[in-house]
Amino acid sequence: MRRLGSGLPAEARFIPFSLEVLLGIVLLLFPLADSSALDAGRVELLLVYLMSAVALNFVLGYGGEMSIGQPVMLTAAGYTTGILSIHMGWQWWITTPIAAVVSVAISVFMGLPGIRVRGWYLGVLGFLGVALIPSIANAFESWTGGTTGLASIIPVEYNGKIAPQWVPYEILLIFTILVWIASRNLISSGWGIALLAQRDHPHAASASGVNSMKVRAATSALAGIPCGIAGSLYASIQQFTSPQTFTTQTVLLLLGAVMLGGRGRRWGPVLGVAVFGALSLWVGPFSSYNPLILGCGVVIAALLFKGGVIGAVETLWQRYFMPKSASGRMMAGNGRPPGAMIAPIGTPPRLELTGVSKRFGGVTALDSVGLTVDGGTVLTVVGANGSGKTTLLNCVSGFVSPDAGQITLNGKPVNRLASNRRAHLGFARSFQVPQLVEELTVLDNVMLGAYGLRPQTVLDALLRTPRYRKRARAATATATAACQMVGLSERVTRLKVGELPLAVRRIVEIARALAADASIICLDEPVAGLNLAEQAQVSQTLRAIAASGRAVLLIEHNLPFVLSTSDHLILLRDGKIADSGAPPEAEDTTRQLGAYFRAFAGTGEDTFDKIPVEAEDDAPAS
Amino acid sequence: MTIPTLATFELAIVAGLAMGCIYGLVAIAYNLVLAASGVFNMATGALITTGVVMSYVLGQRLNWRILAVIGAIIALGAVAGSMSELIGVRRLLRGARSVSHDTMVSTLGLGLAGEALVALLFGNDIYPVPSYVSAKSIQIGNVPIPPLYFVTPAVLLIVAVGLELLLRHTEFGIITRAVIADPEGASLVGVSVARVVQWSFVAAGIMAAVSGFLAAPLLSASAGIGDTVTVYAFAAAAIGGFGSFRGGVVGGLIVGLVGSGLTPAFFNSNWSLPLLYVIVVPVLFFRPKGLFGRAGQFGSEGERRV
Repeated sequence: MRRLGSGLPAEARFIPFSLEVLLGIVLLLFPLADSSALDAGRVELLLVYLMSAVALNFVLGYGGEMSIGQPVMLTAAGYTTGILSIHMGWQWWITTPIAAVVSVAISVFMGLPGIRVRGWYLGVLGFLGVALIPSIANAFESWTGGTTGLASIIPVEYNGKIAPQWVPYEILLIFTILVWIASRNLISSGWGIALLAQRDHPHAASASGVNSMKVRAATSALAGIPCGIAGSLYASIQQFTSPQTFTTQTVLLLLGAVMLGGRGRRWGPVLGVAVFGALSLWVGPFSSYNPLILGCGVVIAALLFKGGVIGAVETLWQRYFMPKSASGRMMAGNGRPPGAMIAPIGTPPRLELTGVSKRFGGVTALDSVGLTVDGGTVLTVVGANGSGKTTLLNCVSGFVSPDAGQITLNGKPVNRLASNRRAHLGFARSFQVPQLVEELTVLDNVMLGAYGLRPQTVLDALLRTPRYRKRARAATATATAACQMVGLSERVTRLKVGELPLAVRRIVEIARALAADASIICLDEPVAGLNLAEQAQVSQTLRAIAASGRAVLLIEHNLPFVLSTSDHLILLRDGKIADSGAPPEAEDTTRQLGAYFRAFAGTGEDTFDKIPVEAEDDAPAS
Repeated sequence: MTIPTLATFELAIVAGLAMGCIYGLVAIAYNLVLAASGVFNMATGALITTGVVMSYVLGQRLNWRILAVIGAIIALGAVAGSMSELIGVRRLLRGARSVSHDTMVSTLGLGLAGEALVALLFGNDIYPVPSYVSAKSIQIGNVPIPPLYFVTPAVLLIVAVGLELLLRHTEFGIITRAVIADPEGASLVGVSVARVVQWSFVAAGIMAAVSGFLAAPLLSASAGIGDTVTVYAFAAAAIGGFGSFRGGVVGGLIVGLVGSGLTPAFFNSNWSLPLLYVIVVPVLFFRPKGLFGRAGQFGSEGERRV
């Protein structure tokens, strides 16, 4: 299988694709071996759990959202099918799509508070929702049959007769396989990269142009589909549904399965459902030991492994079977000057700030700051800690909205735009603490820059359309080129970011900004922790970026780097611009730098005591 | 819908407030732990169940004196609360950056196991628990009010005032507030954050078990009863504000009034939870911190990010 712009799951390294096919075939042929096992509907129930667990893994494991309304969706889907079947006489193949729509609606509704609250807030709300099931069923007793439930739902028929048990089993299994493939297609697409990015680093995702709200809404909606199908089919198979079919215990089972197997791992839900399902079948599904074992299992799952069993195996695999990858050269010494291939930009941008002020409580972080960055130049903001540098950058990239003042790009005000909208206008940035998805490769992370602006749509990713392939190819090419520009060796681009030292992560962030083809590139201390050779490389890259007509807004403490890179310096002190000017043609000696900066500051004060420390470390002199 | 007479209207309000005090107590238990540790202790339901079941077993089957029952329940709540911290939380709080998902799941599992254990030992039957105080109603105006309805507000008041005094006027309280406001800063000046977290679990365990004791005569003793109370307490904590002390009390009273007082009396108890859900969702949407959740949780400065 050709890998196209994919976040290839790490577990693919040790779980071969053939295992998937094998498991599928075994399950498809299962009725031949033991058709009597299907009669009680237990095996079918396991498939229902599996589908729901895949959905939960999608929204919790990959999306990071504690969205645990699955029993509500399963129950609602069951009742949808039950009511339509009894009152309208409709068969499963009509009611199931309708049930899926109902389930999606519920999933989106239950996810709505997620616009404002996240984490366990949403979990508590989900529980509240699950606790509502009996109340709602009782309140609409004439439709739902109250606590006794709805019986005589039309079963799956064939030629006007009730089909043998293996028929609905195979239908359910085929849907399960489809859900499995759909989940894989989504996760390994550019859309999946955006999903993981908004989970781990919402700011970085937004600064790369990802509309997190849209991604999360889509995740909620998609996670409703499997539960809708499963709930509806299960009601048809059992010819019965009730408020006791899926309860809080179902939440526990699904959560436990996903946690034990490994959340955010493809095989996690399969393994977890297999374990918990086997336990439940062993003691009997209605045994009072069932919740006890389930509870203990969930505690063990939550306590023992962070990434579940699959995650643990992954770690072992990496330790014993993978070459030690973090050592060795990170940067390509390919002889080419870095940044040589940066394509020039059409019209040079002009970023202007006028009278920008920001207060946090009693602290004035920015006091009427005005500056201009032109295309083709590097403007560096220096100043002591707490002088407002990062706030300035946050105002420019849209994470902080200024209390007063105007920010314009090419004369157009951007004040009111969210950061992801600004990314689409050509803003890109890096962060003081690199914000990268650690479980993805360098290349995938850099691709976020490209995908943020030209996202893969859900439908394209699901169906692997020609447009999907085109965009994936384009994003891969852009990202590869961006990595080359900053001098990342090809070997490094295939490593997971989690294996990289901090310095290289900073460079990856610059590459991500380049992949977005931004015209205004803002960098927050890009060379902190880099060695001299790497600093020189970044400096050259930034000069090349400027030479291509782009504008660079830099925050940096490292004076030799600043002086060799900047066209223009601005000194911030207590949120005000204290001084500005072009750097002198100074030699990189600490003494001269210190003298220069004291003069630059216009005072003899020791405001910059902290700043030249790094410079002294790098270039000891006098 | 029946047209309420004045007496039933007032009785519904009193009954709702009486239950509301129990929800408020549980909400404070949630919020205390939440403020101190950032953990939403989902095992609380099992602690409530334990309180309910013990007050039946000790008081009715074994005929213990009421003070002995209360003492045993407080001891049990303390032990069970610290157990939930020891097993479900301590390991996870060490090290990890974001623990909210993990601790939620681990305490959930613990709660389920605990409830299942109680169900195994106690069976699935429902046993009525007689009132701890006189069953004869006290006439106020023309409303007959069961004396039990005065007990829950009294206990809530004692707990609230006691906690307030403890947090504001003792060394331990100052340390606790420091941890709630700034755990990192507190640990840098030598405060043991872990110990404060442990104490918050113990205190919350006692509150949950005592609220079970209070709820027993009102709700009868059964194995799954804790879940019913926790669902209302969730709503109380959400409406009042997660992590807030005052919020827990006010949220509890609102939830009791709406969910246990007015809706069952004049409409249909099936609508209690859906109605509360419909209140909670917009509250969280427009005021994610709840009505009272803001800086100054439990008398501390600043606000804990959870």
